[in-house]
Amino acid sequence: MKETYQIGNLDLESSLGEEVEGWLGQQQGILRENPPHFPIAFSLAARQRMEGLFDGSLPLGWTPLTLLRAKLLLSESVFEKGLEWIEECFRTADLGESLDLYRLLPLVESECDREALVWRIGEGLRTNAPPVFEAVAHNSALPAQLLSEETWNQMVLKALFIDVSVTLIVGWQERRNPTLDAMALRFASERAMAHREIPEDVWNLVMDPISEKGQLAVNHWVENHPREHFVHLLKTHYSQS
Amino acid sequence: MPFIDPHIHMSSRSTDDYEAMAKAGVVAVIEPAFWLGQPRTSIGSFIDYFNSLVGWERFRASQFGIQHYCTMGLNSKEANNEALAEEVLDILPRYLAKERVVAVGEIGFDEMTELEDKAFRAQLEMAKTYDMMVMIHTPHRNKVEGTSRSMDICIEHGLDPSKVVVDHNNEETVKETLDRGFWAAFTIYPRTKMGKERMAAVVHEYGPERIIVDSSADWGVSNPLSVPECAAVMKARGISESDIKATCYGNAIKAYGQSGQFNESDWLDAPAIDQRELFEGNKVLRGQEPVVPE
Repeated sequence: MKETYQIGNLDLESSLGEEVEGWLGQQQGILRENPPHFPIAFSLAARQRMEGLFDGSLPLGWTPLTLLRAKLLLSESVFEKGLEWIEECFRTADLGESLDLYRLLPLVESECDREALVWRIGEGLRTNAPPVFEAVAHNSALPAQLLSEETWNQMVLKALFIDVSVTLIVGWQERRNPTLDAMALRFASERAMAHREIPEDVWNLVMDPISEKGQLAVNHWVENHPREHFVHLLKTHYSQS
Repeated sequence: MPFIDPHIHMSSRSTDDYEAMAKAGVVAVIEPAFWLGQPRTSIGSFIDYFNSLVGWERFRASQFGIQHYCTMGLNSKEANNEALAEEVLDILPRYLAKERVVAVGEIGFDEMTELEDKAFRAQLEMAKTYDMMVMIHTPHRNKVEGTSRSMDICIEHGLDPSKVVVDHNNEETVKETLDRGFWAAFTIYPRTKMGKERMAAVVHEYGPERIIVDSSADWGVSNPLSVPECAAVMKARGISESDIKATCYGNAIKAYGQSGQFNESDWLDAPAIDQRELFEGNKVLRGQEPVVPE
């Protein structure tokens, strides 16, 4: 079953070159006998030379090292407890390893305890480090699939707050809701009051209000703020009105 | 002239130090794992400390244009808590495998107890397993005997002396260290032990080969500018420019470069400093104007 794993268009069986695949085979041999070796193998992967060995396209944020780590995770005797081994790695992970661990969460989704996975996603979203947040929130179907409306809204609002793209969050349009529209507008008001720039994604979010209440909120906002705060909005949607 | 401080405990230093070091020409530092001035009481404290060496401290250094590397190991003092030492040795291989971890260290003897001996040997075996360099801390008391014995044990475990840096040498230990083919590092202390003038005399007598200068600056009275200041003293005492560069820069690359994790290109091709970057949401700045690339 795991042999058919794909992320986007990437077949996880794609080769990383003879030397790296040789090392992988050797590590998989060790893991078969001794799964607790996984965190060491996960770190050691960074010591393999991989420049120029992979010319296929990789999912957003992935490097050939992420692919090698994905292959380690799919190893027999590791994969069935994938999330548990990921959690074990998180205990001692450096920054680069944390990013890859978050990127690999979609691989173990079908095999793991849903509650534990939701907790881990939440933990990743609690960070203020933009690279970590992106590794959890971007290009992954998991948040849209698993997060409650409340957590989802907090995630999108935080993306605005730490200046991370909202439109790279899978399902950002489908999961819009009136509460989130109102939160985004309140965020825009706070920024306007502090004379700080308002991220363009605020307007992407509230551009086409999804309810009459939303439309009224946007109209109210536009009437009560100086022109320069919603130039983008005016240019596109409200310029004719 | 660029400098490397291949032994300095930056976690206990301030951002003023980073600023002064960068200004004085320090381009890279190696931070060996050691003790905190008092013994830790649980494995969690070790894990958080090790995590900070490969996380926050690396980021903090980069904010001042300094490349940060580290060595990982169980120090000799804390090897004397046997139960905790075993837990640390269990978790240690995970850290040895990480990027920018250039050696097992600093390990060796403090009081030369049996438990110190046991932890030292276990870690030398790990160095062999992961094909790593070793950084040895030689004892402050009973130094000559402790240094000899540390090297004997390395040989007994089949380590190649060219992959072992013996630190905190002085005039009494340097000859044996060099004769046996090990790297001889010297810590320049502000008042006690080895000083800058004495260092210049050692380089004058033994030449620059396999000699490395460092500060070992930590939370005690110490000087994070020891390496550049020592270079200035050596220059004043007539040591050649190339010998100064070897002992205060080049030899550290030759020694720790063997790990594959310590490359001159890391700082020569480093991106320009951008203090606007965040790490875990924290800036190193508190309201100052950030330095940004031109």
